[in-house]
Amino acid sequence: MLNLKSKFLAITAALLCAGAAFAQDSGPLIEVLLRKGLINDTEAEDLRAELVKDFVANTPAGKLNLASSVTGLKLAGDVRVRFQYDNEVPNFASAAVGANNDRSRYRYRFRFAPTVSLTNNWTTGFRLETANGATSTNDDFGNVGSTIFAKDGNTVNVGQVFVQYATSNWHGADKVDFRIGKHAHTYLVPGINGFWIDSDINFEGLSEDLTYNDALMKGWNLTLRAGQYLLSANSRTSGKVSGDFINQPNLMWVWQAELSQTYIFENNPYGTRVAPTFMVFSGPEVTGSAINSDTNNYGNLATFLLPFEHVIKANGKPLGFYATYGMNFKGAARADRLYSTTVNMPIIHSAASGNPPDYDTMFNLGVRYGATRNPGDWLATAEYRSVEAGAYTSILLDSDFNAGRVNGDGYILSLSYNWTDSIGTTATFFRATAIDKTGPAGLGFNKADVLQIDLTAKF
Amino acid sequence: MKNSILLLAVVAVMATSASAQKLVIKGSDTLGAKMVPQLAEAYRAKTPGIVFEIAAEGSTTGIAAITDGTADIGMSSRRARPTEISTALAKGVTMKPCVVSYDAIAVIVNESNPLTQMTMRQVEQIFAGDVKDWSVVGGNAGPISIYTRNTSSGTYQDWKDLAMKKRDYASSSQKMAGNEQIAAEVGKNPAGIGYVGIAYKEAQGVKVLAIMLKDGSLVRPEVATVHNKTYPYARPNFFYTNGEPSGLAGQFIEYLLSAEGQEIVAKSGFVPVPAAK
Repeated sequence: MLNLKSKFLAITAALLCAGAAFAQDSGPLIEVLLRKGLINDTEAEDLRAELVKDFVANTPAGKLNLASSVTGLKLAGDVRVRFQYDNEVPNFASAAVGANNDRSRYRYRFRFAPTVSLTNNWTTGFRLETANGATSTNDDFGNVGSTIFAKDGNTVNVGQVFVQYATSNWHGADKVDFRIGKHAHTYLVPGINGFWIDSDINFEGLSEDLTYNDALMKGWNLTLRAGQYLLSANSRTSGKVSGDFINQPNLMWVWQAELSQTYIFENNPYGTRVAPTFMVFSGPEVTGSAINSDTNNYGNLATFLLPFEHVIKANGKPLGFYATYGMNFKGAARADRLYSTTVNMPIIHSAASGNPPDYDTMFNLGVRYGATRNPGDWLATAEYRSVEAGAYTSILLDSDFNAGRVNGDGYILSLSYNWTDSIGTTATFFRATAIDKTGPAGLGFNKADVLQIDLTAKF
Repeated sequence: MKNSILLLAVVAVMATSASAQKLVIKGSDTLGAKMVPQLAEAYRAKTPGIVFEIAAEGSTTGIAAITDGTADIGMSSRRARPTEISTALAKGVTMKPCVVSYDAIAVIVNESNPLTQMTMRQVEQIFAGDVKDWSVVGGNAGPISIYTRNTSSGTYQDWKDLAMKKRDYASSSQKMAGNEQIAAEVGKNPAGIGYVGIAYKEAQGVKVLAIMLKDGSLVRPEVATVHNKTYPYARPNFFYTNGEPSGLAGQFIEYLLSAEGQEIVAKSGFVPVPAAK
């Protein structure tokens, strides 16, 4: 018969020989040995300490010297290579034939996001991304820098940097999520690439989410979201001396109330979500030629949006229907601004005077079938969308459809296939045409076709 | 109020002991409040010429003191975390644990509460805030008032591990400085519930709930149920040293684990270590 010491030595040897990874998971086994009386508490503690020492000394992970306040470290990201074909025809009626932009690009993106979980429900992290545009993370191969194959055309930028506090049962709310910094958003934005908030956008400012379970009725959860985002910290206008600042920030305000009844089956979400949203921009009025610019002009934006999504199970796969209706309450005035050719003097909107129609609404309608989570999974999506000139702003719109511009409608078709659980292919075709083909430059294209074929590796 | 008890116990007359040996003990306020000072006093009575310096500011400080080399013994009411062990190793310190006693954490309610028992699931649901009214668990209708230790306490975290599947406390829970404060509040509040070390289970106005295990059996926080591992909310208490305890620290730990030492452990309200078989 083995005595206690022999048993202890045998167990220690067995656990250590079983490998460090196993050793780290041996807490429950030690508990069982304790309860069975095979070892006592002191022996168990010695064993735990030995296992930790072994883990630290003999495994790569153990050599990471993380602060004791770190409860988790997640390293995630992706690498994507893309072929992209663009054909954009200007929307001037008088544009010369052949003035269209016709090109192929061979693109890539890289994102790397370390996220550190800290004690007491705090999280912090950052994300490095290729490209510096707000609505794109793509860089181009063959975009010649100083020499062919040079690296000076390739940049890595800080896409996200944030601090987050997320917990449950917080002052009456079942869940809360507060974020500050440059961070991903949580708004419901059904549509390819996020439609009205391009999926590459990282907002800068504050976001607050509060979720109440069984709100209003059993099984329906209510999530209240709000965001206050800086567009520019110190506004500058052409009305001031060049280089002079106005110490008044331009802000974007978002409020969304999502009512949802959802459930998860085989890691896919099903159910219904509807989320009335209101967003406004605030800041000094722009003057000069900026009033004609959709990207510099923050005025006259007070848009109500109603995104909706319903996902059912069809032949074992998710079948989702989604839609968004949006209307800018100041859309007519905004369209007037964007159409104006007279600086400093917006046109007073009047259909009778030949000014543009209201141009204040936007919407999308889509259907998707499937999901891409496991090897062999596929996902097909078809969507129609329309954004009138004064309905919204190209600061936020999906940049792949109509080059992110307003005054466009059209469709998107997309098909994805997962080769493995981390390697996938997607082909997407976008066709946008101008709602008003005689509109001024910057307000969409007469026609804009984009074809993208992607190979993505996620980790 | 931060539960930080600084108990500097110099159990000797310094002036008469120029050659006195000093034993520095830092860490858990649970152990350092009563048990360790009583042991030190008894040990000094047997071995004159020893000066004890005891600082009870929380388990984390005790483990850190061993890593930093500022204490001979680190008291801890919880197990050292792997990150603490690895941090110590990086500094050439080998954290050596020694189980010196056990602490059973009792669930207490006001003595007027009709409940006498509760399942482990109900305990979790109440402290996590899933259940907010006594009527849900068979009590008189009314909101539940939850009392917990404050966040700097090792017991605060241990209770989450032992009873709440590591979940967060209900946002409505009220943080108390120590066992006495929790027992006092629950004793005054008919809707109160809290947890205390078994040394405080006889506090005025409170009663201890039996815990129903998954097999339907009822267990109470007692020496026998701690030793046979059936009471679910029990935990060992530790002395940590740098390597195998030696010198004065080794002698003191040896005394603590002796029959005489363990008798003091029991008298101070803790569960003694079972005699070796």
